[in-house]
Amino acid sequence: MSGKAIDQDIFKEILTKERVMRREDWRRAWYRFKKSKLSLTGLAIIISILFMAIFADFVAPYPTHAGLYINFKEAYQPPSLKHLMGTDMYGRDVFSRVVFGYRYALMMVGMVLSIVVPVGTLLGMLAGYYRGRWIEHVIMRAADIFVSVPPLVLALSICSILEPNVFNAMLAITLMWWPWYTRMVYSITSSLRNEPFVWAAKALGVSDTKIMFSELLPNMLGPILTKATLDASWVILIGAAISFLGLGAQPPTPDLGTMVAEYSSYLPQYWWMSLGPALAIAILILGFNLLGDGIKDVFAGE
Amino acid sequence: MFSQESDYTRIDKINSLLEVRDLYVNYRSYWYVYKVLNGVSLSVRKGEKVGILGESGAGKTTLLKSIINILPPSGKIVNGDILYKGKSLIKDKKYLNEIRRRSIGMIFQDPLAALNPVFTIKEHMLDILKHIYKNSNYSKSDLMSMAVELLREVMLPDIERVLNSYPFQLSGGMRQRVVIAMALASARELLLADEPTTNLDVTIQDQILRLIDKLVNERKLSLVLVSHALGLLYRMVNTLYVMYGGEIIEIGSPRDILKDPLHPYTRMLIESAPRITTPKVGEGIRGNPPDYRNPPPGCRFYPRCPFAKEICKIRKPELKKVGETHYVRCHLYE
Amino acid sequence: MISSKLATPILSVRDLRKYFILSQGVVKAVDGVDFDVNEGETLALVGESGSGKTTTAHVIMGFYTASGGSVKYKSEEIGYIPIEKRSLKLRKEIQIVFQDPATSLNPKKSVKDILEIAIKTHFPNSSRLERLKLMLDLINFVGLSEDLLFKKPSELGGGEKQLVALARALAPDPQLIILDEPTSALDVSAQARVLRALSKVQRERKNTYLLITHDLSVVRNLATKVAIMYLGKIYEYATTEEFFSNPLHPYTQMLLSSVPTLTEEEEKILPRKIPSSGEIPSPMNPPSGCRFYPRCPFAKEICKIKEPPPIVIKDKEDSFHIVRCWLYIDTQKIP
Repeated sequence: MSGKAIDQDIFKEILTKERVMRREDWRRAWYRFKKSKLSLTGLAIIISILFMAIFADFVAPYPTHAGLYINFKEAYQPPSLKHLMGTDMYGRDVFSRVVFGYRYALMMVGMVLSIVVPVGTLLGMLAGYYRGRWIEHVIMRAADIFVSVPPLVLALSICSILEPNVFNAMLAITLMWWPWYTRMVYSITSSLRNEPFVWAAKALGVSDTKIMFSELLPNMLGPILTKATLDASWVILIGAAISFLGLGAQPPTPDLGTMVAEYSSYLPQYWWMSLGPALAIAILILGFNLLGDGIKDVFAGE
Repeated sequence: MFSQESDYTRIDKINSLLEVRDLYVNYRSYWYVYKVLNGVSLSVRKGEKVGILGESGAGKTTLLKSIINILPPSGKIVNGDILYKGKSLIKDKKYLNEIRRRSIGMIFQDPLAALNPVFTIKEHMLDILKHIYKNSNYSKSDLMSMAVELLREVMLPDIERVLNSYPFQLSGGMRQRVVIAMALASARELLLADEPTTNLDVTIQDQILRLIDKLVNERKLSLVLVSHALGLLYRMVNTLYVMYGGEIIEIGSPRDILKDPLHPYTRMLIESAPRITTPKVGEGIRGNPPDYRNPPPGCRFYPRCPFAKEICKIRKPELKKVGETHYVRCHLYE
Repeated sequence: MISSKLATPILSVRDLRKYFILSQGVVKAVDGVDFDVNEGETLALVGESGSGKTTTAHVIMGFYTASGGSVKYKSEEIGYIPIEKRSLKLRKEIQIVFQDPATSLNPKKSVKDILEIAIKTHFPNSSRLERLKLMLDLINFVGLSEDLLFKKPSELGGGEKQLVALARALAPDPQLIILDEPTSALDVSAQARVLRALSKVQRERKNTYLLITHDLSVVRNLATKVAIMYLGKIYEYATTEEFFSNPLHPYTQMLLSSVPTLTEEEEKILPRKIPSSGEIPSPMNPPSGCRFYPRCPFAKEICKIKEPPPIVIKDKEDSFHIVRCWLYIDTQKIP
């Protein structure tokens, strides 16, 4: 029927317009991001490091040096063209180890944040939305408990109880990190929840879950993503601290923190050994921070 | 600077107190430039009460704030001049500060926002009076009695209690009276009022307007009153400026404007105001105020004007004298 | 106060109370309110801040539950059912348009998304095409153009936002729409647009409005009945014609006197009989007797002591007038 055909045309037209609109939104967001050269630098740093981490086997000049490798002939070499960051006490190429170290670092960041951000956000939303009910109390008091223990102490306790390795270090960090998200999301949710547009949704009959995820969450993405990016640097630092204290990755794992610890006993004579991984950590953190600023700009402009 | 001869002839140089000449004000954001005021001229004689009628986004607040230059950092006067008693407020910073202290006072729209929530009213008043009289030798008790006198003039009951209260402890009407008292302290000659009653209840609005009227008459002040309500301005002012899109589009006595609105915008505005006398509703005005980032090059009302002609798109009309006290800026009258 | 002689009113409120218990005391926001609204009518609840009109509307909506009294929608008691517990069917029937369109629309969503959720919630089995059609119908019905579908609220003018809010409220096809100061936050040029849309909607869909406002000209444009509220109680209740031709209560006269007039026509309707004085006291500590007596130029001894009862001045088929004031005790009509 002709009526239906016309409808279909309008339908298609509207869908195309919608697609165009969404694409415009992304374009504008990107424009806001790239306005700052610093943010672009941050993005470049992270992308390069990501690339190094993924293709470590190809990027690292001496991939076998990442694990168990001994060649005392090449040991204690200062930085040169052959070994960009010199060699360590076992003759391993520090640069190659650092490249693999990035892999561990990013893995740790990825795993911790991919648990902490969704779980923390969800708990925060529930606590903020159901303010005054039992669920708020349970969640926030639990958060309070975890927050009141100094983070490093908590992490160290967990690691000393369990076997010291990368996985447990990540577990420890996850356990002590989630309350910060919960608190932030809780505070934003509680204030947003009384806005008229939420009441309008309730009046319409929209379910609570839908309100939380469809109405409230989009308004919180800015702070959540910004915080996540900036937190990445903290996760790395704390992870490095745990490893530095010997409770995280164990040698010969090329974890950046472990390396700083191992090599620090050779200071000041063999300065390059510690410097390599330390510099690597610093650059990674810088990258995340700049990226975080960029993300903040994207959402602040809206 | 003074391109529009027609604007200039309006201004009575002898008795003039405040003269805004061809003012252009822009706002800058990270991304865009908002060309808000587009050549605004205004004059206030001694003892004259001037009203500025316009809707939100017309630039009325920008205009007021430019006079004593309290524009936000993103705002900038890019052309034009503002003369007070013949001397420029824009070029002479010292003079501007003098005038702010001793001659001009301003009443703001939202009394809660105009008061600092962590200071009591007493602290507010003393702070202001100390600044105004910083070159004199008044003691603290002198200033206190001045403060009490001011609060009495604005008819605040229970002055002792008010002085010791924080802004949030007072009602909206009382807060606005405090704001008026504060404005009076520095308003020896000119009082600026930016929608002073918009956020208040209807019965309180009436009281506050009557108060302003009384104070202006008693102290022989000049007044610039900004509002979006014609009814309010009608009984308070002698001269009415109608603003749209950052321009003055019509000037006249309140009677002129009401009985014989010339500009299509003015006419449509008056016609569409909801009336208490009849259940019929006006047409309203289609469209939205201009986008200041990209304002129409000719007449800024052109996109919404039912009488628009080709020339309206291209050239900004000049202000033309149509009656003894009546001026209009519209190609229909050229 | 009044019982309708027509068919059962769609909304029937009796002795409604809403008290808020704070640490400093009890705020009696709504303290015994009675009114009826029939299908197709518009009742205006008029008052200033602290009058309790907004709270009344919110109780009817379910944002609060009543502390006492009854709210019956189509004879079903709803005063004690909070919005979350109301059935979808009930929620479909009563909708609301808020005062400030800037905060009543989700700033991160496009108009299309906003309407889509409204439609999807009540027509879960609709196809995308059907929803789009309904969306276009709604948008055109309130007088907006389709290109607005893809804009975000921040890109719209105040009047347009409010019309979107109206379209959203219409999506479930409600019977009763609560209008919470629908034009207060708008410019004059937008007000007319919104008022016209509201009239048109009611003309064609025959729905019922509960209008909360302090603006008497809006009352004149939209309402069939008016109730004046002060400090939680209704002090005058009449059909609109009757109300404007014969305002009786001193507070009503004070309200009318405060409206700035422009023409002689208006002067006639709003004679400056009572200039406004005083301020509304805190609802935590309402005056004894008639709550208006501290500000009333005609206050007598009895006003201080005893609350005046509702006095029926007129009770005809299509026109009635009830006032709560000791001044009129002698003119009471015995039905």
